Amino acid sequence: MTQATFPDAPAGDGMRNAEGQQLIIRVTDLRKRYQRGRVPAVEGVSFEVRKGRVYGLIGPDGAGKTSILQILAGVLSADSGAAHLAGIDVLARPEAVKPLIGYMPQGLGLNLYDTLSVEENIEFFRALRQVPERRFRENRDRLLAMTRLAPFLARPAGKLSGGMRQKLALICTLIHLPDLLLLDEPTTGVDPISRRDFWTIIQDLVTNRGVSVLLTTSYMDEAERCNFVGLMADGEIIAAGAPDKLIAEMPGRLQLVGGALPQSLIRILEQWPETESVALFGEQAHLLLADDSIDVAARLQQAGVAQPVVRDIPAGLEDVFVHHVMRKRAAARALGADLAGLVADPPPMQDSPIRTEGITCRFGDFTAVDAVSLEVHPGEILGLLGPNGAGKTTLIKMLCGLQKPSAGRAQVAGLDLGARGARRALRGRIGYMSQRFSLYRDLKVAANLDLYAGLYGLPAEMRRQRIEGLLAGLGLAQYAERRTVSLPLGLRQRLALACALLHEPRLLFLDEPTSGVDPVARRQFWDWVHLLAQEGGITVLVSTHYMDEAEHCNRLGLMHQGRLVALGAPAELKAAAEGQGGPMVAVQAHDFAEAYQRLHARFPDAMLYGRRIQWQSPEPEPDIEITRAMLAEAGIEARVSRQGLTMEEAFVHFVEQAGNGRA
Amino acid sequence: MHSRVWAILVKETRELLRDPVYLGLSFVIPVVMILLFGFGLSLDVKHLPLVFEDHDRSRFSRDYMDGFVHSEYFDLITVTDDPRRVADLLRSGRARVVIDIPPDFGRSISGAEPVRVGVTVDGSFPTRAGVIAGYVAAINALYNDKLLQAYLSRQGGGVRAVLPVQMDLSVWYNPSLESKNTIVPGLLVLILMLFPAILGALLVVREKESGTIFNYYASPVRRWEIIAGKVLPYLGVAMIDYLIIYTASRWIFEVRFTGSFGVLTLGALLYSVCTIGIGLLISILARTQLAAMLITFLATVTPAFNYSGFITPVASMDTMGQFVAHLIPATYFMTVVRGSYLKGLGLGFYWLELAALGLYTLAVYGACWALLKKRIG
Repeated sequence: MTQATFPDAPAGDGMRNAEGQQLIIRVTDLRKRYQRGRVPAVEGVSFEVRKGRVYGLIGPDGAGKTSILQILAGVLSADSGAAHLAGIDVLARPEAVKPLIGYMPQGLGLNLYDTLSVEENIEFFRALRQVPERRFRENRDRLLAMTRLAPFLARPAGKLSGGMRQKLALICTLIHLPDLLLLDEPTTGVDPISRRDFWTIIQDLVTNRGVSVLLTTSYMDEAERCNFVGLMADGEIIAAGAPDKLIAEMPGRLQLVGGALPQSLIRILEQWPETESVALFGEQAHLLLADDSIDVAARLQQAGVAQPVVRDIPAGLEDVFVHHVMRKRAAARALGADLAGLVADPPPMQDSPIRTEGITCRFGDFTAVDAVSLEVHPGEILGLLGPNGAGKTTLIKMLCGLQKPSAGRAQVAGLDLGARGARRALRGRIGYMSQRFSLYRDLKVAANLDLYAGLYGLPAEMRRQRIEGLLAGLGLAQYAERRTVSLPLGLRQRLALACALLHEPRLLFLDEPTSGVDPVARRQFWDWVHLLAQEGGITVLVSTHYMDEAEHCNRLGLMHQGRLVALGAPAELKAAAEGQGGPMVAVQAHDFAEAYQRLHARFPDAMLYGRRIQWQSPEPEPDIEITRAMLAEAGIEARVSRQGLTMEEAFVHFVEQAGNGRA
Repeated sequence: MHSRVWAILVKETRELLRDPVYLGLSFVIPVVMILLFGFGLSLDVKHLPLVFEDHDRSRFSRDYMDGFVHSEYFDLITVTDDPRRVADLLRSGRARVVIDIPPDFGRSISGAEPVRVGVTVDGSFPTRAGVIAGYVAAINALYNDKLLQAYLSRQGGGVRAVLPVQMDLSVWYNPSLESKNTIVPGLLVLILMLFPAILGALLVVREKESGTIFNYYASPVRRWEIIAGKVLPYLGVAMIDYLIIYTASRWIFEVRFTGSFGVLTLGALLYSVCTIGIGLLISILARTQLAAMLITFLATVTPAFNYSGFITPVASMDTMGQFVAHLIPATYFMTVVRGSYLKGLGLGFYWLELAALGLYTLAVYGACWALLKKRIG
């Protein structure tokens, strides 16, 4: 009997690393440029992925992540370098690796056929991959159970929610149980419940089937779920390692600084030569210093800050990323010197700029926004946090007068949206930055501003002054004569912000302004938003699907399936979720796989976050005792601790509480 | 059947049956097209609006007019002696031909003197004007003949005039000289060119646009399996269209069919494989569905309409035209179709055309296979 075409055991065990561990991927000095070498995508990337591990390539749009995945999947050629997958030279024999891999392209369920039902989609992939019947049935039933998609077998894929689509896409990608999964931004814009299901499947495959995973993401918080990460920027891996190690090895010191007006704070901190980066988070700033021996409080007092508050905070992967990017680019981050150009005169204190009562939007039998009531206070930054399809954009469009509500009432900038002519009058009072980049790519930066000034009907004598003010204030002056298309995404978003500010609105709507933008540019963008709110008194309503951006907002509305499931300050929300559902129990063990096997049997909610195991526990103290006893009995050395909830965990809690657990 | 081909085939069929646009392109529009063109596109010149400007108003002039009125080629609009009204009728298009009978028409004929009848024809469509002139001349000749016979019989003596050369016209293949007998089979060629090619043109590029193309690129599926799985369902569509058009031609338009249904079907099968392949090739090269559709439309219908012999016989084209004609598959299938409908020839007469179609098909699919790279760059 010859071996079946369907490989039972992972093939190609020829590759090992220096420590003799088995490798599934080895990439050496890989290079790829597009458009006859004019556009660089991958610039000399090398990395290794161990068999049975989850490796994450983390970075913003345009960092080269997708190109690497496509080269490894054998669907894109490389210019030079080497890429081996399970011992096979991918560049020379791309077809040979295809039976071994499952590749999921970027985008929500883009590998699915919308008119085909869930079952028909799965069946197509089974037949395409020629999966033997017995193995198929068993695998399919298990995957359907884990994703809770079984009740929807007959539903066309086009009528699934974003999260469900993505779970189905994952099932289709791994119905043949590949040795290696190549997943391109599998969780971008996916709701937290589906994301959790998604990771449950990945962990199951890795622990029980020895599958290896290479995935890309632009979520820094997600990177912590990987065993190993490579941080990517501008086509290079700028740092690689286990997430906890990367954080631990970061030189310098991260401190939270408060006690003064943020705008003065940021200007002082930026002057210091040891400052590696400063980022505003609400009233406070995060300061990363290259030299950790500096007494920040004393220095601040010298600079005239009366009672500075300074304390050390743990760094996150995003801080590591920013640290490495700043080092590589050696770029001085300079905020525009004066914001006078942005905000002309001090605003009058307004009544609540936004107040809605049960505002609803239906499209046919689909309810995009379901009876949302909220109030936004003057000068605050209110964030709408939620996955794609949660209704954030529709809500913003209704509040901007771009979409007619089906029911409910809303008052925006002193206008009743239901009143005659209100929607037209509204446009002069608000600034709106849409989700998709809506400027003219072929125009120069200044020309775009000029065009929008004309569209807003700015008087000619005001126009020049206003545009120059904005260019200077937002640090765009040096790019004024550049064509918009040639700017990186972060700068384009800043230009879009400038366009939204042209007519001096008091109320600003930002719809996913930082989606796909690199962390450094993202932090800068948020700095502008903070300064606009604090110095200019502008009220900001901003939507995002990045959980880690929540901390930037004064208050946060969590949206899921059209409903506002929670509203409050970020810390309040986390505290409330912890009060209701308990804190996290976290276990750090050297032999994490063995620990996970044992703990998962006792605590079914336990999940692997890279090398950490954790679960939410309503009774943390007894659970910690049991865990310690279990691990001690098994002879596993471990650190068991109690931890607060992250925003994502709080989100999952509120969604489940709202009875929307079935994503 | 080969299971990967079968998987793709089943998927394509399901998508086709569930998408109103594809269903429309597959079945509704071809049927609408055969009905519209079958009933509407006629090259026959009949029932031409005719006006007499009769200044004679005699027995003779009425007799002369009778010859025209009783012909199916002309419809008498009116008889008048007002030249301004005549000019009006011509200008407005209510009359296409005017025959002016002079005041002394009857007298001159009786006096055996030649008389001149003025014929004015609307020349906006040259072909039609030529046909009108021919009809008028023929009916005029009949009248002359009739006068001659009458004169001779009056002379008595049993003398009968016999025109020296007489013509026995027999028209083969289309004895009634009805244009539907050529138009409707020609439409079969055009429709089986356009719709299979357009549907074929969407096959790959649609999946490129949606991103599902990576399902093939990143799996072990072979190129020929993709091509076969995608083409076969649409070959089914083309053959159903073929049967619908064949049925319509026989029993709705009542076109003569004298040849072998088997040969025609074989030709249609080969031709459809070929036209789907042309669409597929465009689909492999194009980046967007819109571009693929436009290119297909330009690359298939335009040459097929002008050069396949649908309107003008290939033999009457100039060298360049004949060269183009032999570059497109429609020309070969046109020969098979016209022959099958009208001439009733068997397989033996078409082996050259069928071989040409076969070669063409091989070349098209060879190009598809070579150009369908399982990579994006």
